[in-house]
Amino acid sequence: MRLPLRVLTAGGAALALVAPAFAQGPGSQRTREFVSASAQSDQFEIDEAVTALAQSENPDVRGFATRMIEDHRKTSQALADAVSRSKLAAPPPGIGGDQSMFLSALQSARGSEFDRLYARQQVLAHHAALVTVEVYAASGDDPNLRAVAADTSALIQSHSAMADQLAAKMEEGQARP
Amino acid sequence: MDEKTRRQALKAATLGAAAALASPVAAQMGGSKAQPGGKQDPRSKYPKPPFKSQSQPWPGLASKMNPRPDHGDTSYVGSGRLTGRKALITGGDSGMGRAAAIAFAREGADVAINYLPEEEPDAREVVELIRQAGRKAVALPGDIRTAAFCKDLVAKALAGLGGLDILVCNAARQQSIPSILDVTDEEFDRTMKTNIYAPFWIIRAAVPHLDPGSAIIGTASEQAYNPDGDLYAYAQTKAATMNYVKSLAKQLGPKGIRVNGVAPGPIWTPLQVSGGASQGKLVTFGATAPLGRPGQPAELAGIYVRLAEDDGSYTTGNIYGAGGGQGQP
Repeated sequence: MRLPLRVLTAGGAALALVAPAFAQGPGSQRTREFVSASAQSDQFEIDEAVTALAQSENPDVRGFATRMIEDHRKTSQALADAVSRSKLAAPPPGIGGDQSMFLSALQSARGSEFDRLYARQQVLAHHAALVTVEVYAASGDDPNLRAVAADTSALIQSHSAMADQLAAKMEEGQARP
Repeated sequence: MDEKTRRQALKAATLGAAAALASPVAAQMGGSKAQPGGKQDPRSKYPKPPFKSQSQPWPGLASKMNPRPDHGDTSYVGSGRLTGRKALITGGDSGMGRAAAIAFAREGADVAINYLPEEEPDAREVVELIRQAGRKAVALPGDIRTAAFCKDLVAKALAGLGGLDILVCNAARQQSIPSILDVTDEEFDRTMKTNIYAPFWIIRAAVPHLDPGSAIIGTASEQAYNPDGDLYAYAQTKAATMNYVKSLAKQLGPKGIRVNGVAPGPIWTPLQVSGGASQGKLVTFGATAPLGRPGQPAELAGIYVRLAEDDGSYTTGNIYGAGGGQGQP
């Protein structure tokens, strides 16, 4: 059945006015992706640290994990503040797909193997996070977020060094007879 | 009473039962609603990690978990989809078995549940819920790890229900043990007996009594497809479950008996607090899933109903998943 032309046109106009439920939101793709990646990174650090505090008895691991929770809650807040100041959309909650696999592997570990795995994962996660944040700090297009990226970059560098030290200690522990 | 009136009466009875049960605990759960339909944000519908570190001796009670799992006690509303059916469910005291028991009863089926004697407090609640739905409840406690008990279990279910046409093999033993070197003979045997032998004994005893149109449902797991390293014993039994569903479907299809499986992702059940997961996994349970939280048993009840009901008559040899976005199928 052919609809009269005016009905079709009205329908088309209505469609044009209806905003899709999940519009991309403001900000360049690059900026949106940075916000999303940073939020996921913070959440991942917190999830892994919570897991470590429930599972590990190693004082070095526990100290590192406690620090991660404190610091990543702060960076998470700083990101949210910048997102708000720049009137960007809040990132969706949760961790990314690759991080999910890391967390899943960690959840299945126990004892000294848990400690070594946590440390190794933290080395990798911080190296990856550092790259993300340094690139945006250097050439991102949103000034508020670029400032946050610059601050966070210093913190992540120190975390990365801490993670390297923790990993070395865990490997050393294994090497001892 | 005509069909429409009967359905309305059933709905009223269910809502009445649900209202009578409405408790502060249930009210805290985002998911509870006594009306069908609508939609909720699946991300926030139920509790998200982090959860409190907690541990119970095997097998564990749902009533002692924090937060309590939602089995659909106050939210499941039936509509006569399983009128006149008779179901036996192993592990019907908690978890998916409980959710299925409640849903089946609300859909019009009489239900027998099997559980371990230590699970009696949880089982009492389920029996009460089945009766409140106006259906017959048969409590059959005992350990399914012997052929003799399983044979007796089926006989008692048949006698208590006056027949049988839905069989849900759901009870499981799950222990998280990261190293095979620490898996004892006793633990391995316990897992195999509960998860593979018992379904074999129970199904074998039941098949002569299942008429065409009957349904068998096995609880598998995402672990069947992508197992975790610390679930070596448990995960292979779930792969076996996924497989027996398919071979039995081929064998029993010509007899008009359908056989299907359910593969959950991470679900908040007593298995997780009684050794099935490490404390590390427990406190961030479900964080790996795209929905950002573990599932609740209530979220799988409808799958068991679907696989049991006549409307699902072409589904056999299939595995239906509910994994929060992670895993297979």
